[in-house]
Amino acid sequence: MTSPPTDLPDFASPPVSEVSLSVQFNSLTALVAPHLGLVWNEFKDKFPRIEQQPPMDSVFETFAEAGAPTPPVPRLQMQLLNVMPTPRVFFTNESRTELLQVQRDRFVVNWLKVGEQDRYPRFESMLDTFEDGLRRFAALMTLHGLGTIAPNQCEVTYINHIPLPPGPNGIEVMFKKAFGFWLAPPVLGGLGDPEDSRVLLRYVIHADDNNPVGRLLISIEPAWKLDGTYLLQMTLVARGKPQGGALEDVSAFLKLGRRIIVNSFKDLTSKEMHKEWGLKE
Amino acid sequence: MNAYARQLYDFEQLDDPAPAAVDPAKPQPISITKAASGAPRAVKLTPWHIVFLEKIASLVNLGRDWDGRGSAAVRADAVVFAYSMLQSSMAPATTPPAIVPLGHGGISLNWSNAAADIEVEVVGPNDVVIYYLDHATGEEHEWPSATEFSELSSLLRTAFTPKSDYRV
Repeated sequence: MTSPPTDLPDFASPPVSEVSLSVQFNSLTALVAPHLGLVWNEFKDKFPRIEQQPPMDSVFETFAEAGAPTPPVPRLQMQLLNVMPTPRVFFTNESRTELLQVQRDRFVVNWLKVGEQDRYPRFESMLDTFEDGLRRFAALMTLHGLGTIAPNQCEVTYINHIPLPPGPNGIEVMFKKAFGFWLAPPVLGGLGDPEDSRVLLRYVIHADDNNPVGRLLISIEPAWKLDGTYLLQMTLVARGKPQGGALEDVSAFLKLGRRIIVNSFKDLTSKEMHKEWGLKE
Repeated sequence: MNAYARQLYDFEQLDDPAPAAVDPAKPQPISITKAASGAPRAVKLTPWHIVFLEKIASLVNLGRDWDGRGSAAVRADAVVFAYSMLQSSMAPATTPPAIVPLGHGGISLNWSNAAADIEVEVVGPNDVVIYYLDHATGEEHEWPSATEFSELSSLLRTAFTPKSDYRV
């Protein structure tokens, strides 16, 4: 396993609750549900649990005019109703903290914090799992004549859970504490603080030649866990096109996305929270 | 349209009349695709969205060998990519393109008027070829593109969008 870069912010106890590394590729149209059994057979030593889910939609980051607003129009889903849809499958480890997701046009590795004792295994370890898994999945597709993997988008997602303090106005209290130095919701005359806030930010990711290659999407919104804990959920997604079709190109984008996410997380959150999360100097 | 398709197909503008009663004793033709969206109903679609979705719904019905020459079925990922490209490139009032299927499973989007022709061949995700012809000067230009469509957007805005239009 490679070592983490030394120039990235490093937190001893980051509030991360889920991380995923994903590659989307041109659809393997020959792949049908029974083939997913072959895939499970390849991975079931480490991922013995299985679950079936509807497939995720394809998503593409495309670019034209800088600064043009995105029209509030829907994503397109394509469903062929004369053909049984090929599902997405979850292959999960025994402790349910690691997950492989496979569908016709996606391969995803997730880590999930299930219990308070679960510790984020770190990006480098997840990338090893992802690279090994994608290599084996691609080889299996080739072996069975189901096509080759042609990556078209990569995606890194970090979901952070920041618990709210007890008492009234917990959302605003935590917004100000964690993000207040750059985000200050106005106090309106006669109304006081807002009851609720949420944030959605989008940034364009540029390559070294300054061409756009992807986007960073950040959302911060109130949420709650099944145990009744209220929190702010901060989701950071870096998505874009790999420079080429090789596994190395996919890994390079995932590393870039991780770098952008970790730096952005530090830039967006307060020094007070950095101290709580154990930011190493 | 069957109930499942109706549930998925939530654009009011495109709704078909209620289906006729079905005789369960008779084999029924298979109902297939409609382009579906999870958009809230309050969202207004522009004319080009409606044209695109209607046309795509008919193209994906074609299946394989739609031309009797062994052509591939229209690829869903090519269509979704084309939609994303149009979202980036089109103003609300830009003229909708004519859409035709291609033998390799991609689609071709075409705009034509007295001023210019634009043809965009979407082979698949990140694999696009754009052709432009200026009728006044005879200038032709063809270039490949992956995810960046600024030039296409500029040409569509100049030649195929009313001057009063602006992005919402």
